[in-house]
Amino acid sequence: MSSRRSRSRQSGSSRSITDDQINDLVSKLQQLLPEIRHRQSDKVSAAKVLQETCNYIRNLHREVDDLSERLSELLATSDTAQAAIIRSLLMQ
Amino acid sequence: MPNSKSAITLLNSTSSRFRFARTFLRLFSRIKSQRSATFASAPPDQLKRQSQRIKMVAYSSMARVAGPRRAWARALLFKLQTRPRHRTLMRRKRRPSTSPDDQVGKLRRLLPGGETMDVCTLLEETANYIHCLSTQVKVMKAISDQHLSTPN
Repeated sequence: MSSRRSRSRQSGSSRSITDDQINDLVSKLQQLLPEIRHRQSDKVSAAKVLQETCNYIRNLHREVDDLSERLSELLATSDTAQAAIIRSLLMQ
Repeated sequence: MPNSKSAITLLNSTSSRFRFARTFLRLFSRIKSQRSATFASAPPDQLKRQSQRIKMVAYSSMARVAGPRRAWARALLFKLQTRPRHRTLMRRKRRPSTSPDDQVGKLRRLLPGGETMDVCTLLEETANYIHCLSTQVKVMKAISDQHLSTPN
């Protein structure tokens, strides 16, 4: 773990990061965001993409929270169908 | 073969969703069997604890599917395996001092392990994290929809 950390620290300082690289990664990120996916990348600033990224991650975290609650409630109410559900999901 | 490339992408996304579903369901059914073995009914605090466990299972299974080569997955698993009390001591030990704009800092705090990454790694890992997280959400949605549509 410590060796990995020090390696990444070294690469962080020695690796020269070009603007092109950053732009490339930012536009890749934009493709994953439903809100701004279809906008032309030159019309969306990097700060906007990062902001939307944070919002999207927060939304997904919230969805995981809600779905965990829902699944927990469903486990409490439905018992017998579980095996069939798992089977059907694995067959899909 | 004009469609071969999109077919491959489709196949990849289907099989990754399958791996997410399989890993999550394995852990999920373990919670289920433990629950029915110990508790006949589910009082409110029991429900809450159980949904907390499901949430942990969701995050740990997606980290396992992503694999140890992903920095966010390693960080997330470490976080889940470390008790919260200990975690507060370790948190924010090494935050890079240079944060050119605030959005990058926010992203660092959101992404597991993000506080120790350089910017390029942070962006790459974020893209993968979003992909995995949204797949996990789809899988959980599918499972709960199945539950709803299947009467006992």
